[in-house]
This record gives sequence, C-alpha cells and structure tokens, in this order.
Amino acid sequence: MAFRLGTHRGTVTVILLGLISVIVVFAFSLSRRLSSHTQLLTIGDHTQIARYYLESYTGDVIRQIGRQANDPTSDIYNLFRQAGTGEFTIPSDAFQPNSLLAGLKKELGIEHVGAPKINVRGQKALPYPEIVQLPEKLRGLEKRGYLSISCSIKFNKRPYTMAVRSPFLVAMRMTPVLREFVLFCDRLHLEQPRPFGSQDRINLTFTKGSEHPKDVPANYSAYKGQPWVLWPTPNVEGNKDKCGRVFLGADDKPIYLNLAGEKNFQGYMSDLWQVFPEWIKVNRKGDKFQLQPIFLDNSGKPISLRGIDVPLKLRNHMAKIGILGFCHEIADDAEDGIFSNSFRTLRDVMGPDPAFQALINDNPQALALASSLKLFGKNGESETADGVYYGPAREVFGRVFGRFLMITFFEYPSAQGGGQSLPYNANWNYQPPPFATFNNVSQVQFTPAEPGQQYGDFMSRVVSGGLDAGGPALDTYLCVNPESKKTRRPFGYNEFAPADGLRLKGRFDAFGPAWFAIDPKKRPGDPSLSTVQSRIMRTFANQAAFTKAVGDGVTKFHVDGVVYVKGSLTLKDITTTDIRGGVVLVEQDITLGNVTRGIRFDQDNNAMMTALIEKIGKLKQEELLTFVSLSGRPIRLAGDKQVGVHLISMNEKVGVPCDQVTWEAVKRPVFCGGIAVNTPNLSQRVREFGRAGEDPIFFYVPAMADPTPAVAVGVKSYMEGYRLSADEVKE
Amino acid sequence: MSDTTFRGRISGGMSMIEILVGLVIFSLAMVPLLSFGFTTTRGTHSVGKHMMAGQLAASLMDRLLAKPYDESLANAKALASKGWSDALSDSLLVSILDHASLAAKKSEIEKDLRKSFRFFKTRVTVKNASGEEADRMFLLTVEVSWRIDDGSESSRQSIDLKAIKYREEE
Repeated sequence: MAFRLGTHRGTVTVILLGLISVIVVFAFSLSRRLSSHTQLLTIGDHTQIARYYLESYTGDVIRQIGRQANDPTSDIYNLFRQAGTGEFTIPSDAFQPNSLLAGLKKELGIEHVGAPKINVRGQKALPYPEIVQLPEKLRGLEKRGYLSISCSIKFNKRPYTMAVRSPFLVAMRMTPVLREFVLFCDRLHLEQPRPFGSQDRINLTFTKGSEHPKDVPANYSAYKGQPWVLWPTPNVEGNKDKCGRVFLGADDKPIYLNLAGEKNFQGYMSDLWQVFPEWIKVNRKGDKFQLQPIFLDNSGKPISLRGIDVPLKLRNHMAKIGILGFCHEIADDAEDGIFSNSFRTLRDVMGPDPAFQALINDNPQALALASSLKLFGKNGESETADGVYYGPAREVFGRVFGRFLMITFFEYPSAQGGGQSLPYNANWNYQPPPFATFNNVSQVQFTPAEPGQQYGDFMSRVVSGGLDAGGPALDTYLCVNPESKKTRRPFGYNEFAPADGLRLKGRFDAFGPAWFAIDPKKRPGDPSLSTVQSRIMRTFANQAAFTKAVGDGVTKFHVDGVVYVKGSLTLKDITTTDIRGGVVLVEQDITLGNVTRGIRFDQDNNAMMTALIEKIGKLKQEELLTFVSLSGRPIRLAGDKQVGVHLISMNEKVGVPCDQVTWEAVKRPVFCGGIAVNTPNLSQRVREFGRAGEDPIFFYVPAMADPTPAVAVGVKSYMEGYRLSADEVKE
Repeated sequence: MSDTTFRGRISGGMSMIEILVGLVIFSLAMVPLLSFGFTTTRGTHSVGKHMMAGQLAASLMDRLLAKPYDESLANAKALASKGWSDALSDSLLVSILDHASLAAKKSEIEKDLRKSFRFFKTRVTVKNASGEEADRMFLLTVEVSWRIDDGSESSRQSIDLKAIKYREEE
C-alpha cells in the first residue's frame, strides 16, 4: 500500500518538474528569438551603413575617373584616347579617397579591402552619318562603353562589396570636317544670285591705290567698309592643313570673286598675284608676269601693266597681254586712272564682252569693287626673292572663280599708237581683219604662233565673267585655289583630304544638315543616332547651369566634351588661360564676350601681334572652344577679341542671306579660329569691319587641323547594374 | 479495514499542503515566464520600431541623394535648418496618402501612420567639403529617433545614416 501511495505523490512532482521544464524551454526559445531579432537588426543597420558608405565610395571612384580622364597630367588620360574598342583595366593607384570619404571611413571604422577594381568594358564605336568616310585609324576613337567598378570594405568584421557600372562616352572636342575650315559658307550663293549689280552682294569693297581705303569717295559711300581678310597663319603658310581651308558653296553654285586690282605693280592688297602666268594658255614659254608696257597714252608714254608678251607667228609680232583687277583706276570716273590720259577707253578695249557689259550696265561703279572676301591675305610678291608669289597653301573648295580683266594689244612693226587692241569676240575662232601699219603703208594679219592657238585665247575679255551659257567654261575660268590653277578644275568634296583622314562621300553642303540634325523625340546622347546628338555628354537647362558647371571664364572654363544648353547663351569675357575645350551646342542665340586666353590686347600693336602669333601657334586642339547655334540664329560677338574659337551657326532652312555671326562692338576685331555659317551676309560684315578703328585680323588656329582629333571623355555620374553583396570578399 | 482506509485516503485526493506547495511552485515558475513574455513582446515592438526608423532614414536619404546636386543641397540645408522635426511633418511621407490607389482606405492608413510614427523624429545635417572640393560634394547625415516606450521621452533611441553626395558634372 505504501508503495502505491508513494507512486501517486511522485506523479505530482513529476508533473511539476515537467511543467517547469517546459517553461524553461519556452523561456529559452523566447530568449533565442529575441536575441536573433536583435542580431538581425544589427546586421540590417550595418548593411544600411555599409551600403551608403559603398555608394559614396564608388561615387568617388566614378567622379575621380571622370576628372582624370580629361586631365592631361593624369596617367589614365591616354587610356581612353586609344582608337579601338578593346577592354582594359584602369590602374588602382588612380584613386585616392577624398577628404570627406576618408573622414567617414575613420568615423565608421571601415576598412577598405584592397583598391577598387576598375575595368573598361563594352566599348562600341560611335556611328557616323552616311556622308562621312571614316579612316581606319580613327575607328573607335569616338566610342561609348562603361566602367565596371567593384569596391570592397570590411565593417564590423563583415565583408561588403558593391559592384556598379558607369557609362561613359568618348567624343571629339571639335566638329569633324568643319574644324578644317577657317571659313565655311555652304550657301554663299544666296548672296550672289547673279554676279552683277545689286544681286552681287559679295563684291562690295572699294579698292584704290592697291588698298581698300577706309574713306571712300562720296559717290561710293554705299560701299564704305572693309573686306573680310583671312590672313594666312604666320609660320605655316605653306601647310595646306594648318593654313585652314575655305568652302564657299553651295557645291554646285558658282561664286565669283572680283580680284582686287592695283595702281602699282605688286600692290599691297592686289589680288592679281592669284593669276599665275601658267594660267595664260598661250604663254607656252612660261614667262613670268612683269610690269610690261601694254599700250601708249595720249602723249606716247607707255602704260605699263602686269602682263606678258606672247610672240606671234611673224617676227616682231607680239600679243601684249595685260591683266587688270577691280579697282577705281579702271573705272570711268577715275581721274588718275589707267585710261584717263588715253584716247582708248576700257569699253573700247573690251569690246562687246557681255560680262563686261553686264558689269558696267548693272552697276557703273562695279569696276572699282573687289571681293569682300580676301581668302589669302595680302599680296606677298614684293617679299619674295624673284617676285613669283604662289600665296599660302590654303585650299578653297567650291566652284569659286576669280574674276579679272584681260586686255590684249597686237603689236607689230610700225603699228599705229603702239598696237591694236584685240577686243572680245563671241567667236573663239574669230579671224580679225588685217591691221594697218603707220600711215596705212601696209597691212598685217594677226596670226598666232601655233596652229592650235585661237583668237579667243588672246582676246580681251572678263575672265570668269559669269555669263557663259551652260555655266562656267572651266578651261577659260580662273579657279580660286592654288592647286586648281594647275588642274583648271575647282575643288569639290572629292579633293577634300584633311590630315586626320576623315573625308566626305558627299557634298559639303550636305554635311551640316547631316551632322547637326537634332531629333526631338530622342534624348541627348542616344546611342542609336549618328549625329552630334549622340555625342552629347551633358545637358544644361539654362546658361546659369552651364556657367556654374564649366566655370566663370576668369578662373577656369572647362567644357570637356559635347554639351547642350537649352535656350540662349550669353557669356561674359573668358580671360583665363585654364580652358578645356569642347563643343557647346545652343538651342537659340549666342552672345559671346572676349576670349583672350591671357593675351593683353592693350599693349602696342607689335607686342600684341607677337604675343598673338605665339599663342595661336601653341594652342592645342584640347583648348579650343566651339559654339554652335543649332537653330542658325545669330552668334553675337559682344567682344571683338576671340582667340581659339570655332563659331558655327547653320540651319538647313536658311533660304536668304541672314546674320549668323555678327560683331557688335568693334574696335579692332581679332578672331583666331574658324567660322561656319550658311551665309555670312557679307554686306553687313563689311560695314561692321568698316566701323572698326583698325583693320580686323583673322587667323586660323593650326591645331584645329591636327592629324589626331582631340577627344573628351564624359563619365556619367549615375550607376547601372548596382549590386551589393555581403559575401566573403575575394581578396 | 485497511482497504477502507486506503480508499478513504485516495478519495480524499491531495492534501491542501500538497496543492498549496504545487501552486507556489507553479506561480514561482510563471512569474519569470510572464515577465519574459512581457519583455519579449516589448522587444518585438521595439524591433519593429527600429526597423521602421531604419526604413524612414533610408527613404529620406535616398530621396535626397536622388536629386540633382544643387537641389539636393538646397533641400538638405532646408531640412537641416529645422533641426529635429516630427517625422509626420515630412510632407512627402504624408503626401503618399494622396495616391489614388490608397484613396479607399486613406483614413485608416492615415490613422495607422499617425499612430506608428507618432514619436518619430528626423534630423538632417550637412557637412561641406573643404578646399577645392567645397562645391563638388557634401556629407549628408540623416538621423531618426524614436521612443522605445511610447510613454517615456527618456527611452528615445536613434539611428543615423551617412552618405556623400557628389556634383553630377564631375
């Protein structure tokens, strides 16, 4: 019995003990649960802290790579500038944490696990418009790709790694093709629908005494102004690339430039040096032009002109060919003109040449008006040893012709009055009637020396007259191009062969619309485009954002690539020498102050010119600034000193001459760089330059024609492919 | 007789002493259990608040980091000038309620939100870089504090997150 009772009592104890055990187990599990909550919470907090630190860390890496990629002193500068699209690794020593990050690292007790791993991957060459023919050496120079960045840290003994991708773009700092030109006008023909009278708005510069005087006679007041003289860049005159090219279009439209004439042989501003002796087909011996007596005045004194004597078939029979440029000295109202003391008049000598008639009928003052575009600067004949001056090597593209007058006298023994003029005749094979000798003693026949030579080859006429049916007769026209003078053909896009090898497969006037086309439905930098739009690295909502980003122009001005500014852009003077170039695309108008690059323009002229020439010789393409008005709206130059600047204002809708680059305040315009517009509106520019106190100076900057185009790297500050892991770090 | 005694003792069950001893032991065991359960419940509540604070801090930080540099700096400075401020004074947090998809239960959610974030406070501080980097980056700190015990201000805890915002153009 006792045993049974004892068993019963023990049951209670066992139940109680069991109950207590359950309670203890329950309590333990609760404790575990709470502990794991706390642990999870701690891990969560640490992960958040580590995440933000790693974002700051990778952000700093991206920022520093972006900056160093455009810093010529950086080790990684050249890595992005190799043509090709292969992968490569950026040295880890390129990164040093900024002070804020270093402080944060110390504060949080974070340890960096190794250096950040930075690889360049996924590079693809940027496409080009169809019209561009890219040389192999430049393939992959412009490209897009991404930086693959991996940063690892240890925080509270746990490893964290963040891997991100940051896209980048490598694009040229200047506009291809256009940068090769000191002046590019793809619709200049709109300013010369007909090369005569009021429709000719290119030949507007009054010329007298081998100069373009600032003050003009009262009856020429409508032509008060100064020509646009494109001086050859000193020290590189013989280099066709570094000289800067000119295109005057459209490609299929002829442009006629009146060559400035001269009072004195080899006049300072005479353009007649552009007529090479070889161009005279009947000059078989290749005689040089000299100051030759061509005809006699009323007093029997010989009138000498730039000319040559071409022997004819019979002994002592001579064709005396003289050439005349457009200047007041050949105009009817010139008191001290070439024909003023002669019974001969230019009208008589020229005969019924329709081009001459059109010139004087449409505008009686036209003979005194030379081209307002002087493409080769001054006449350098007087400075060359043998007087044969071939001019700078500047190439002129387009159907650009030099217009001048050729007068010819047939001289033979006992000729009356020093010879008989050979006036124009529409029949190139014309056979003039015999000429009488003195007192009609006998008659002589004009007979060329060789059977193939015709009357037309000798006769007086307006060369490049502009009235030939069916367009210019190239063989008898003078192409304004040093090279074309030999080939007698104008230069077109096929002849365009710049040093960088980037050529054109189509017309020059098609390049602007192809390159600057902006598709409003696509975003800036869109990789599917082949235009400048795909090369845009940064977009600014307004000019304030732009100037804040690139600098104030006094301490620095860093464009670094192709950027897009919405609205209009007005910039004050950029005086700093710390300029990093690029293309600034502006939706609307641009107003630009001076860009002096540290040059003092207030010093005496010689010192200023020395400093200027030295500067433009040293300028690098990386430092040059391009401003583009995408709408073709005016680029207003509020300052008159711009050094190392390329201005582009083009719009395919332009159908009449309009102001696309204007000089607002002119004391002495100094412009070094290039200008590309549809139409320069020369009549307005000539007036502007005429208001200047001193002659304007225009130079091309040789670096614009570098064989290897300068590029800028734009690293996007946002991250793609974001991965954060708390795995073990593989060190 | 002995059988009778035995039956009688059995039918009498456990003595009072035994029952009292059993209850005392059970009570002694239950006190820590209940206490622990209470602590656990409070801890879980606290964990929930901590997590909410972390989410709140991260969302505020992300919002500021996502903005363009100048806007981010301006917003951060505006928030910094307020010092500690009520989480519910954050207009963006409250404006979420205006979303169309929440319209049906707006009042319910609003009530819940006001209850959940009643004692949450946020503070933003900005530290500028020095020297050349002054205008290119700043250190952003977002702090969130809350009451572990809703009834006690002294029970406040806080969490802070730090990140550096860089100027995009760089």
